[in-house]
Amino acid sequence: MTLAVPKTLQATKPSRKRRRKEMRMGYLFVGPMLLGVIIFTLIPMIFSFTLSFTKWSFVTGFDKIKFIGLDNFRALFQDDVFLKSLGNNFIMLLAVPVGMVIALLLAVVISNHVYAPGAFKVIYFMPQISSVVAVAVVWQVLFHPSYGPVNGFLSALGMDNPPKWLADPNFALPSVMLLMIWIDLGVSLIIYNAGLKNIPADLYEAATLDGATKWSQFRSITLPLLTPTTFFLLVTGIIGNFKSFALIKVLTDGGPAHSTSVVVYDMYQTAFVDLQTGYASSMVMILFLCLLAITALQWISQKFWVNY
Amino acid sequence: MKKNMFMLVLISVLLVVLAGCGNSAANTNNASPNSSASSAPEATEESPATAEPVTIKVAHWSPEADITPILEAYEAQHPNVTLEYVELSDSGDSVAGMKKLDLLVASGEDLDVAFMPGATDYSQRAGLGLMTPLNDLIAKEAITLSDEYSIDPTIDGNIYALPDTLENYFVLLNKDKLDAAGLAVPTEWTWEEYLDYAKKLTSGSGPSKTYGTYFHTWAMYWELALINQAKNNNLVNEGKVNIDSPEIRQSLELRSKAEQDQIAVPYADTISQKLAYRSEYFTQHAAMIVTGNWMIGSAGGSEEFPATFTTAFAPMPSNATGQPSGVSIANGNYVGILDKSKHQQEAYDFIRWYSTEGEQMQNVYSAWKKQDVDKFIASVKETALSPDKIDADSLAFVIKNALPAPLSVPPTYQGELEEAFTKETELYILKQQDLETTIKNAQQGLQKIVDANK
Repeated sequence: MTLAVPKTLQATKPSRKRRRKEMRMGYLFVGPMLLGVIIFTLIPMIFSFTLSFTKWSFVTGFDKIKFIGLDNFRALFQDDVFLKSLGNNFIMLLAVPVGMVIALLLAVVISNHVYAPGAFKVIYFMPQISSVVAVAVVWQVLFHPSYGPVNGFLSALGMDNPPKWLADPNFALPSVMLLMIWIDLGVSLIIYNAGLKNIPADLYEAATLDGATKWSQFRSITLPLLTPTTFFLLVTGIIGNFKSFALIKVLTDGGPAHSTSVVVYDMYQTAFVDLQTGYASSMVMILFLCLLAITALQWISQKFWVNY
Repeated sequence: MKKNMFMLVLISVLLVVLAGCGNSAANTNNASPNSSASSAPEATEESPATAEPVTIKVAHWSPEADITPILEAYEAQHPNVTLEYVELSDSGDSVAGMKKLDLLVASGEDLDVAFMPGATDYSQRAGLGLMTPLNDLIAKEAITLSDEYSIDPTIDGNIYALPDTLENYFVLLNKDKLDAAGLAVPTEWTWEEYLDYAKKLTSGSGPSKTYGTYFHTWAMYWELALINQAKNNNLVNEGKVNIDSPEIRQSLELRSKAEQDQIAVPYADTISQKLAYRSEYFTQHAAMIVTGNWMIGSAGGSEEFPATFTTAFAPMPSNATGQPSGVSIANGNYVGILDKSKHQQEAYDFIRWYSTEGEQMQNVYSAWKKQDVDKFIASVKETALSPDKIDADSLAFVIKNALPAPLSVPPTYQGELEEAFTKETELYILKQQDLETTIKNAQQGLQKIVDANK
């Protein structure tokens, strides 16, 4: 026993040394990234958190920071524009599941039932690789209330008063959501496609032998085995949805009458146009809490419906 | 040993990075006190001599080429002063320029002089304490501001900037269309007649339709019958919200009538296509626009929008017959000195010169009372791309008969007021709510903002 101890020590020593070396190299490789995250993400986040309790404008210098406790948050819940923006954010979340359903159906059709599936994937992926600004400008013209092709088509069908789309407070948000679904379709489609490829073909074979219909195959094999993919798309989709800014900025500027304003847009307006950095920071904090809550909910609920 | 070496490297890397951050932070924080500490004594000791060379950083959104000749002229007269131009926007976009200015100030750039496009931007930045009060410097020079300038930039008793250009409003008319319709250039008219003109100037259909007029999205186009008043011509005057007033009602009805008669470019087109007033006017999509002095030069055509027709000028319409035409609030660019500037006196000398004599070097309509209007018109025509497209007679009439109403410098939260007001009026024009609801909601909404900023 007494001899065994140094033996094991000797035996472990080189491996420990090696492990340390690996650790070292690991840190060295992660280092630049880690520094970047700390300096450009973590510190600004903490700073923004602190600012949410202050009345301050970023142009005035640090000596003018004034702590006002929870006043910003109290004001937020009486701020019609902010509440409207937050509400719009939640309405806009609908675009995520709707987009995913369409993407799933298209993925199934494309991977099994069409010739040249690659071409279709490229077609659906097109809007994703185009710049948001270009896409927005094209749709701006398509949605032209008087002479646009969309309304031209509708009036050709005999519609007397087609909606004014982006200029109509009731249709502006759905129009924006439509575009978001269309833009994000490609990514969901590709990921669903990959998910479909991962389902073993013998499951379908066995099901066919047992006489299962296509629909019950889809319901009992495809859907359950795709749940991890669905979960991934849902989490990233919702987070991405909350961040939507460029499309709204280019298309509608949050209008008409704030009908397409979202928290991020309201925050931009408050921070960089009205120059109220403190107040804008408190908006971000609310957004952060919302995202945290939704993500936590998804993680908790996943064990009831996600099959790995 | 190796481990120590590694730790050493790691620590030194961290230190360098931290020092880098710390340094830059310390720099931005300390730069002004440090450098002011080192230069301030010099300035106070040697300021009587004024031989000390001084560099003044001037920020404006105009392209550098436009402004350089003026700065060079000043430098020629003042050999001890070097002017460094900070171009805020390469396209002359004042909105983008203000964003850049804010970022520069926030990142600790030592600017001395900043131009601001309009009273809203001016009062916002003065309210934030960015601009230095000029009262002492003005008192030292012993001038009365109202004798020098036609705009009073006072905010709560303090003057934070000098008026630079003068902007009041008038109507641009497409004279070719006017002649075709057999209409004379108006010299005295009301909004009623304005709509009548718009109706007669509307022609065609489909995408090539010419509308009588175009209203832009700015808040001022929702208060046209208010900004042509000599007094109390703002949304909020001395803390009192002015929405539930005959003028605002008239403005909204005017706009709605033009929309319903289809003699103005539809608002839905305007916002969904993000139309711009220049393109609408110069492509003859709209025959008349209410606009301001900055368009005088453009009327002769620019590279982007060449003038293909003659432009005539008409005074701002009045609310009813009997009231004078040509009244409009006088807004304009402002030029102020940043609070952090270390060369306040030199900067003041420069902005005084710029806002008076310097102005005469470029084709702008100045807020300086001693400007020679005829010379100004002559030089506008001289520099225009197509001088024959500017109707000089009506231009001279409009300028000489303009009645710039003293602008009550808006409260520092003017931007928020305009945003809230526009939101309600949009709902009205898009037929989501009637006039009374609009007035009621806007009155309440603006009151809330006023209360929150008390």
